[in-house]
Amino acid sequence: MKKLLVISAVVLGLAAGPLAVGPAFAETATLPQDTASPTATPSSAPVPTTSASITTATATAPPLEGTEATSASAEPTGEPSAPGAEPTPTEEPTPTEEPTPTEEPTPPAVVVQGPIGAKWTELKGASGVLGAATADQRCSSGVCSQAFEGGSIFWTTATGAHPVLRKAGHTGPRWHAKGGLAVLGYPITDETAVSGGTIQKFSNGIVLAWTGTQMLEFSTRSGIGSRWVAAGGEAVLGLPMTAEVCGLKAAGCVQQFTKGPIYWVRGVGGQVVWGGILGRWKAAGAQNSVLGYPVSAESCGLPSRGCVQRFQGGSIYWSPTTGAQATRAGIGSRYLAAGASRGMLGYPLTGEICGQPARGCMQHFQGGRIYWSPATGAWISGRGIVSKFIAAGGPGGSLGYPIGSEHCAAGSCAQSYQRGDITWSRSTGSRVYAMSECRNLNNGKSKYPTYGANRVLLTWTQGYGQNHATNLYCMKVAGTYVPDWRTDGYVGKSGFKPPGVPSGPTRNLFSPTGSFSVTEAFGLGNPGTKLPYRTLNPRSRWGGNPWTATYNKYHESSSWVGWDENMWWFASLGYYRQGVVINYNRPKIVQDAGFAIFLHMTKTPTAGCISLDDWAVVDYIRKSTPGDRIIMGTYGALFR
Amino acid sequence: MRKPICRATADGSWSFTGTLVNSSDKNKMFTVAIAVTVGPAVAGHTIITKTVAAGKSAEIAAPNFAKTKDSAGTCTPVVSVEDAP
Repeated sequence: MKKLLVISAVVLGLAAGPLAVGPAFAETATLPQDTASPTATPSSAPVPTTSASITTATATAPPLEGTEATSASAEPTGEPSAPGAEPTPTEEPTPTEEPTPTEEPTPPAVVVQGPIGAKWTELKGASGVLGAATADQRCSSGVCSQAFEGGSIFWTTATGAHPVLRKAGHTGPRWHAKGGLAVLGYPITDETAVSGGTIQKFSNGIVLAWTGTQMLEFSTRSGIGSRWVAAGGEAVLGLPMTAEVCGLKAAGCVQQFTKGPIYWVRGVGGQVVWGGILGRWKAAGAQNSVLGYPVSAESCGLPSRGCVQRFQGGSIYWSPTTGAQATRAGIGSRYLAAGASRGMLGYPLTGEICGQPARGCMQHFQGGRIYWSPATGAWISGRGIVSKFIAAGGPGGSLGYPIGSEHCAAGSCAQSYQRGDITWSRSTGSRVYAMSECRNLNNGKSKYPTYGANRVLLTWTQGYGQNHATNLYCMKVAGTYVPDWRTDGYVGKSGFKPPGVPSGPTRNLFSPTGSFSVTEAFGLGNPGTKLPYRTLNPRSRWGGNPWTATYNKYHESSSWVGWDENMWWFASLGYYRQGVVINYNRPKIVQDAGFAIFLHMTKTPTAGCISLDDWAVVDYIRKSTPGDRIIMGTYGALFR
Repeated sequence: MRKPICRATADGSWSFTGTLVNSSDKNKMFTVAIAVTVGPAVAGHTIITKTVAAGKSAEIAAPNFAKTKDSAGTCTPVVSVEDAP
């Protein structure tokens, strides 16, 4: 009768599913016990066919505590009587052998089942490293465990079942030695082989790693550990190779992993540095250098399969063709502002090279250089211009440092330096220009606007009452006015009238002050110009009689009346052999405010015009386009 | 033009005379523009237009066409020739 009861208990247990202490119930702690079943085990904890594992387990497990030993052979062998059947009266009862009074009771079998059972089976059950179970499965707060001769298996729905071995492997023995569950928490992974060793993670955030020579422990909740996890853990960074070492600059710490170190410092956090960037950073002095600690992870996906990593004091860029180079401070900021590796400069080819004249620095990039000095800041010199700059002596030469970045437009480029400019175009190559007043047109020091003119002739005297003038022909290259030529000449014999004051009749010999457009040229034969050109004839006149329809206009007449200019006469004498109309007091004309203000040949003091050497006038006409301007006046009237 | 003469009196009155010669075989129209300048300023001017027959010559004159403060100044004639209409 007693044997039958035990058999019944086992059969009932199979029918009802795992025992109440098994993980299958633990994961559905809120479910009624009688509804739980092994198949309710979440998929996150893979479970072999439960019936099979349970069958195997129960077949080999020690007997449950408090129950008699049983086995497959313990199936009842006696044929049960048919219900209600009476024993055959003739049958003599067989004397039943009574148990020997001295026989010890067999200990009850311990059931190993559910996911823990599956893991145990995976580890070859009682014949494996865990050996036989020594206690029932126990669950508490969602964590189930079962003790075995060679260790324990822990299970949660989130992490699945994982063993900690008492003697086998490396991490399990350490777990046991360190205080086990109370100190490290339960395992959330098996001890897993990783290149160079093994690793096992625990619920308290502790990672135990065996490197082949030593056991290392670190927390995934520390600055370095959390970064290790975020970076991909052992799959990406590999095993730790050293323990965390602190006491670095600014109380920073470092831990070396197989693929690279993680550096941590308060206020910045932990960052991985590796590969070529690591090499460059270390070569520069790592955290003790001006670069300081990394403040970002390496960011790849840049052009040409490049990467960048930011540090406290700069950045390191890497590409397969250029390697890793640091950028920092003023040069680094300029590089960043120019689009960094995505911009015209591409990747840095060198680090910052200081010791330049005037305590400056420079850095080479694929697309040019950046020069920096305390006085000028950092500016880019592109490939087309920088070679000319170097040929001119670089920052130690006549030009000094760049004061602006190279800028390009319409196939040309220009760059301004402390003492000059360089331009470049595909057709004309590069050219150096000495410092000139043309720069005043670029930097706002001209009181008069250029209105975007392609070319501007600046004509000035040193003061009022003077007529010997300086003439500077400025041309715009890539938006920058640079000097084409400079020559002397003359203006009205009486000098300039102040800004806003009409020059008046030519007989007063004053020149007007201002910025005037140039829209037409004239003379005895077109020298080749984009301006509308008027060939003069004996009837060519320029109206000088106020309050007439022809005042300050070209017209033709066989007579020569009053203050009209006979352009033919002036042309025949050389003055107007070639000339340009300066649009003073036109096209909106104020009567008697002045007329016939031209740029013309024959370099002598004039009645209000600008006179230059013949070559200059011809060259001016050949290069002019409509909309060009002449800005004229005393130096003080023109420039700030 | 031959024998151009441009003179100023002491009081700065300027007069011009000259001879136009047409040595071609076509009638020509001569335009003579004469101006007196003092420095860059035009003190006075005149223009004479005259047609001269082929192979002929003609005298021209422009009395008192300019006035300057004194006799200082430059008198410059410019002659242009076109086929006569």
